[in-house]
Amino acid sequence: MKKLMQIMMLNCEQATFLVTKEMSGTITFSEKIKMQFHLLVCKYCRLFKKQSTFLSENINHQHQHSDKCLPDCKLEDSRKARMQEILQAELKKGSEEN
Amino acid sequence: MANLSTHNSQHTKSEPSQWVELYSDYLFVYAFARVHKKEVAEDLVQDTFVSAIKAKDSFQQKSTERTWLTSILKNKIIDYYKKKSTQSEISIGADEDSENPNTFFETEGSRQGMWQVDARPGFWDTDYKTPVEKIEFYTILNQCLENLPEQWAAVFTLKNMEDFDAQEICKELNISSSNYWVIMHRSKLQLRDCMSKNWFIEK
Repeated sequence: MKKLMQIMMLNCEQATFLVTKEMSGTITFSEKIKMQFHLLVCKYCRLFKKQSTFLSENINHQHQHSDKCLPDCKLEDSRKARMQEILQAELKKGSEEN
Repeated sequence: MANLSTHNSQHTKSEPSQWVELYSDYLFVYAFARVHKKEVAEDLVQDTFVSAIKAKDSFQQKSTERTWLTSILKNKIIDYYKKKSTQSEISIGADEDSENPNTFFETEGSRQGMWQVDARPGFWDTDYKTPVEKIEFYTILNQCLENLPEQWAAVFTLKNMEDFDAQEICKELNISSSNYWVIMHRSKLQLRDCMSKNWFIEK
């Protein structure tokens, strides 16, 4: 029994590593059992899993909703004007080549 | 009427000289959410337009012009991270990483591998089921992502970008799969810790 416990018992570093793997979908069955066993008894690793999942979901949410852009995340008019100039120059170059 | 429906099913094509006006804001936001640095995002958008001019004959109107430009930008973002990843000389060995030491888990004694006391995850006053709508949250999130070592940010962002799996990322960034998992693990630990300290302020 003691030996079985030793095999089953991961430390927190190993458990959070498997949590990371599971979040990306590539965990083996035995890894999953060990991870779940650890999570059952460790509230810190349970919190790690919950909070990491939450952050990933919010990153995806931000990627999908451009309106979640930040106040400082704005293209300034002066930068746009410069972009326009460069674009025009490229267009001119292109038409001269043709 | 028949003419109208044909017209609607085709995607319109604008003049390149209108692109900045039509698409620069959208593309900038897309890039910023993935590179977390304003100047880099600006340059990537500009490069996208320049490449698009050269490739504009390849646009086949199967998709919208915006989708087409976004796919060019996406490749620019991948290239940016590829370059960063090969330039960065940070060692990513599991334990002997002096620049990014293991500060989350005990490294010796009977508690080896257990959370260090001040690194233990604590309570977050949030509803885990719904995404945060506060803009300030995303400001902090971006700062925390920006704080990741460059190679970690590369792996982490590419993973979060659509259509990428672990194998492809390893190939693109030329890293081994064991290093990939070490980086993902460390990135998640650091990001969670950073958000805890700067947004949730653990109780």
